[in-house]
Amino acid sequence: MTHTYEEYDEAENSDDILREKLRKWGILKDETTSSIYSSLSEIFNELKTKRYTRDIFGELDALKQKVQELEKRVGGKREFTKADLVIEFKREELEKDHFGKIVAIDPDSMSIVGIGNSVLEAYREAKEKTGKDQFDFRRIGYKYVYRA
Amino acid sequence: MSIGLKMTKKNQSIPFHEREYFYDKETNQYFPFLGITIISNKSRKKILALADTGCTSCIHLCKSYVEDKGLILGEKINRDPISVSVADGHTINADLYKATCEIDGNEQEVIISVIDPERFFQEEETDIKMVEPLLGRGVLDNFDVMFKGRKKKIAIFRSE
Repeated sequence: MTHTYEEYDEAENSDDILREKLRKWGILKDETTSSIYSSLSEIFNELKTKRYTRDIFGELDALKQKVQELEKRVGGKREFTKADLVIEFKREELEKDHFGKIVAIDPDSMSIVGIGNSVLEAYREAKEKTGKDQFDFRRIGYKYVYRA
Repeated sequence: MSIGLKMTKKNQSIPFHEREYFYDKETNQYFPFLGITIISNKSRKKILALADTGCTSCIHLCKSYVEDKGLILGEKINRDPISVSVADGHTINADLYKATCEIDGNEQEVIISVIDPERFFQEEETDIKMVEPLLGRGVLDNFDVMFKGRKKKIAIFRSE
């Protein structure tokens, strides 16, 4: 059974009566709820003003900037270098025979040119072999060369 | 010959370097600092470094300390930065320099690691801004070192 708009009596469907019916059906709880809704809408309107939005966006920009700075500095993980490739290629053999020792790697020839118990030992051997002054150093079996 | 041997033993029982612990008023703690001279081709500079048996480097410095003191560290021997694991768990980039260090007339060739806390690999930012110089195992292992805990002194002897 359908009704047209004209069939409804305006007096029967006034705001007060509708509110009363809604409260009876449990849809509208009480006056407090509606007052909360009205105060929430006031707060929302206030938040929408420029003063608040500018602060929030300012904070967001600052956070974005901070994240970008950290991303630049951290860069996720250490970049994989030629020295890492040399170590990775000979890992099993090196860890079996020279675990904990320092190796000097010549990145140009991609070869291990010095092995020693210390960086100085490995460096001396590498310098004697190649005549060069700079090498890459790794400690076999560890992610770091020194601990401090 | 026998006199020579006796003298050697006597020399070994006398520390060639002894220093009282440094007292930090703020923390009310004592720290075993040693005076070492860093010698490179161009300069000699004496610094105080904390004797640290947990440090596997010879001498461990912070980049900001090197800049503040104007230290000249000799020749850089690494091409890519090397990783140093620091006590708080971070892994930090460092450069290595070959220099000579001297403790009371005892000179030795050392590797100096210089960390740059601005360049770290882990996910968190490190709080390290400045670290006191550390005198690590690379140097300490060449001597007999005695930590006189009660007397608050550190003594270094020539190794037997």
